[in-house]
Amino acid sequence: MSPGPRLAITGLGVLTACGRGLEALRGAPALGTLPAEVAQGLPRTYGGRFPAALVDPADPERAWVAGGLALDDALADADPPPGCLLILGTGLGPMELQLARFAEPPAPGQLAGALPADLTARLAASRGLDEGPTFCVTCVSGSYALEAAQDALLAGRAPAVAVLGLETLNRQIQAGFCALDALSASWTPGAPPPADGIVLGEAACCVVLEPLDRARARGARIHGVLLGSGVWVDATHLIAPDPGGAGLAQALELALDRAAVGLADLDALTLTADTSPLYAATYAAALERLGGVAAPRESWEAAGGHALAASASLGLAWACTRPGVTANLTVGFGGQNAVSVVARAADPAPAPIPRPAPGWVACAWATGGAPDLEDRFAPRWNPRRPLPAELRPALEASWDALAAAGWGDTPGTAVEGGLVLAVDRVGLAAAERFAAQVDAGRALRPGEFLASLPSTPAGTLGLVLGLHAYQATLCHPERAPLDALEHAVALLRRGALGRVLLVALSVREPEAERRLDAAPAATLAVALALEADAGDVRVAEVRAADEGEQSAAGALLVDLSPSYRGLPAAGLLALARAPAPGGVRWGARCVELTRPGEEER
Amino acid sequence: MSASEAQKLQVKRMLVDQLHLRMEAEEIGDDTPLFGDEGLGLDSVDAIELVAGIEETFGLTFENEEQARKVLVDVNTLAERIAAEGKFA
Repeated sequence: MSPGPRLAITGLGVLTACGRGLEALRGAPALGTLPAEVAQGLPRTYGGRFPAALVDPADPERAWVAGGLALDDALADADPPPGCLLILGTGLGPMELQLARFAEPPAPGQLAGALPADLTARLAASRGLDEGPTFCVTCVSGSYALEAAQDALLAGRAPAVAVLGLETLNRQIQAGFCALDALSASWTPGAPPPADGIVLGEAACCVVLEPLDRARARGARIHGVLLGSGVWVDATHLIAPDPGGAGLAQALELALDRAAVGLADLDALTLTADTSPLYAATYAAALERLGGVAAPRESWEAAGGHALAASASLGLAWACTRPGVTANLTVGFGGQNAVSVVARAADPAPAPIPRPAPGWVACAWATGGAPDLEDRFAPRWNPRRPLPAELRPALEASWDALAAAGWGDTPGTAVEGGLVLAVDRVGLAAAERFAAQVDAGRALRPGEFLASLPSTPAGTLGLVLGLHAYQATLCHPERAPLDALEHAVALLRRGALGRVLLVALSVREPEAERRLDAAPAATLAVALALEADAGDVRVAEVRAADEGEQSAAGALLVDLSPSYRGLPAAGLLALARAPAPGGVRWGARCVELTRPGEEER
Repeated sequence: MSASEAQKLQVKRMLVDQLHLRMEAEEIGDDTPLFGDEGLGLDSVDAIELVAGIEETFGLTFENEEQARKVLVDVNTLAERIAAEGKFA
């Protein structure tokens, strides 16, 4: 295990239901009854929204406005050097914009600009920042953004990184959490959330990170130091962590290890969503596993509610305002567990030098979908239930990739490794269906809500494949596979993981297609990813997984490495646009990448 | 109040439809456990889906988790409850 780099936190921008700035979050609770357009007809009608004076409650661009405020505050605070990178963590992105456009008759191009990555692009361009990846991993989205920020700084890709965690509270999210029965049933206005469920609160929180030595050299104000972080996915259940706390304990140990501090050194713990009985039990079990932790537990959720994807960056900001060393613990759907360790003091131990570690990536790119997948994955999946249709090809390719990689004799039994999923726009059709369900006042179906989350495919893949340890979802209509490849390679170089399964997933959703008017770019993007300059990573093997019409794409990929260069992009796009049976379309292949010096498998 | 075979079949069809099970309604036993590895293998997300499906199909709602837990055992217990509430069409 390589200790992580010491990173200075030089900029903070916080916007919550309590107002602008972190101090507001330490003040009076700002949770209350939600407006009718958000909660009318729903079983739970309370939460926390941004003050109307700062973010217009009816503005479909509220995510853009709120994210911009937090980002501007953080940038003004840090005054980072040119070349600062923006990395976004958000569960659903600009959902208000999507909901507004779902309400209109489908028109080509209508959803362009309303995807999570569009927010990153717009915010970066408008502030003169470099656009980084967009992570959509529900409540731990910000934690993955932090991981990527560390890698970008470590690799010297940027002198500073603005990590923005952002989630707005709208009808879709409130209804979704109602459907999942995750919200408190007994909360009363003015009181902190009781221990029977969570109360949601919207938040945008941006932290600017820089290498500690460089921040010092330029005389930046250092609010605190990110000593280390850890993510561990237990792949136990689609919406719950391992109730025994094993995954969370592992994440905490990883973070402490990288931070080079012990449990006894912690002065405080922040816990998110700990009024959920399920999560509270997980926290208690995890801390018990480690022999108990004496540090006091803190939370901002009594005042501002559960901040979903903004939780990780809020944890960093919170830790900068209290003395000593703080560990921020977050859990999320998919068995996600994430921890960051932050010191307020700006003078921690010297930065250790990370050791590159060997590792490799297996990359799956799938078409088709074998008919017997449920039976193949029976050890991890109830064969009486059909696997989600849109995931079948990805599972088939993953099966091949795992088998080729020799990751366990039987795919589907638990395997320790990372999963990095690149998606372009998955979940839009389900989001639209769920919105219609909510508007019609029908019984809320949790399955539809889960299907609308960009992170659910990775959660399901991890669960079915038994692939635990790490599970990131990167969203971008075009370059998600590139971002994913870069992220996976960085994880390997940093030694955070020994192996990663990279899956690029492009779902053709006819309903969403009408609104997007965009070529399914994943075919092109994967091709580009495979020929990308990945430095010390090279293509070692390419496997075809299917036959027929779709194998043409495979043939292109087989020839990909040097000979692909120069192939007209139009050819790939034509392939991507070709009709496929059932209206669902996939590209597909599987390729294994290795680092030089690694024994080829 | 016990449910008739026809009513139990209605419940089984609802299970297959709502939960998209890869089996015929007739294959489900009256006393097959809904949850757990020995039975249909449903999980907690399925449970919430099932409650929504029961409400949608039969108009039966549960007052609390404890009540739901007693009813959502197998087809027998579920059909009996629906019959007792007079919710079969």
